[in-house]
Amino acid sequence: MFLNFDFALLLTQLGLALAVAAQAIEHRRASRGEWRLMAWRGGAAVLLLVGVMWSLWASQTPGATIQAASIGQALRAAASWVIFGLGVLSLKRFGGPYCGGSDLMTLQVSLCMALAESSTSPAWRLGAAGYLSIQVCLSYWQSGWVKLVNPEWRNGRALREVFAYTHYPVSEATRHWARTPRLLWVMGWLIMLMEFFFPLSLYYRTSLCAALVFMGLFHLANAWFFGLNRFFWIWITTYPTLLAWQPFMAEFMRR
Amino acid sequence: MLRLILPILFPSWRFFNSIGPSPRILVRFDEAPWQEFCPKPARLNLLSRIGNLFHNPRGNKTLFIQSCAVRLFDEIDPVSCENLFLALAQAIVLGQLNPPSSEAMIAWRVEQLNWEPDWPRGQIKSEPDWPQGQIKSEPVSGSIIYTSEARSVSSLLQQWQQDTHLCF
Repeated sequence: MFLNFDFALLLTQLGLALAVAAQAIEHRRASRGEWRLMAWRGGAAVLLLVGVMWSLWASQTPGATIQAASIGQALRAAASWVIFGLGVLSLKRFGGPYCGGSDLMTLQVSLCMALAESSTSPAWRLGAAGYLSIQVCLSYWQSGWVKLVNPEWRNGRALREVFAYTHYPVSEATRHWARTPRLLWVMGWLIMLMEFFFPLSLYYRTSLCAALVFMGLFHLANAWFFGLNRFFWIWITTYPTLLAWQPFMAEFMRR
Repeated sequence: MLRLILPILFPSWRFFNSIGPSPRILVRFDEAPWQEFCPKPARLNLLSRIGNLFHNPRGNKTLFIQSCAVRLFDEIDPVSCENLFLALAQAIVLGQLNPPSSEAMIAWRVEQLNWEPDWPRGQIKSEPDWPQGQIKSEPVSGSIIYTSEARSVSSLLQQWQQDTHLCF
């Protein structure tokens, strides 16, 4: 296998821990209620980080016992459940997501990692990783589909309006990208096609790697132009799981 | 509860499916003129942009209060209103908003900015109305969606300090 399945889950959990900790720190100067909620979530992220490190140590140490590995898994399961639970509570507090789709993806990742680490059954863990992979594919495919059926996106006008008139651009100077309609038309079509056809990239390992590089750069551009940094970190966190799950999906697609 | 759980298990990933009117949040102290809250900076330098990739509290707070304002387009949402007040209090604490005195009254307003005239359903906007290189500096129309009640700055700051909503 291209990427060891258990190691891929560990990498995703490492990314989740770092992403949630970074999210929590952003709230440190907020009101008491907001900061405490996020600080608890940040604490759970630290616990998850400890669990990941513990499991990495146990897997690399010849003398480590099965109990040592179990402790690592229990830590990771507990921390993921806490991150998920506090994420639901934050939805309640903020009357919805604080940072749009990135909060929903953080919930998906924490729920799937919590489910995966709550069992030692390989089939169960594979199922949890599969659910996350399907959600990532859906996030791209659905996002591409709603743009493709919209004539405003097809003629390039929508992306210009995003730059020119929405509240997303990080500065007034960024709005000037709306003055490059041909470039935005090409970029818009590239994004729509890559998003819509993303699930097909799971057919081959190399095509998935190429698609992930493209989508990673797309998230980076969104962070750069629109300040959507949380989207970048939480989406690339899912990529190791997607890479590890690709052979199973490819086998299913070839049948 | 179902309204909370279902979007978590089956989220909608319809990002930017349509570009609608954009929100503008205005704030004022006492009877002073309304001023835009959190206007965009003219430019961001390279270091700030790189730093924002890792740590972007102000940008994400701005995105959050803008989404609160968009929620008010559909209905009056008390949670969004309170979150907007808390964001104003935080801006005062951080020195981003400067009240004339602690006894001043603060209020905010949400406007809906329309950049295009209403188009008949099914009609695709033609290209000539947006010549290359042009960005409108003012919207076609703006309508006031909601104006909050005025609260004293001191009581707002007290509320901010004592905020324990869903707090442990």
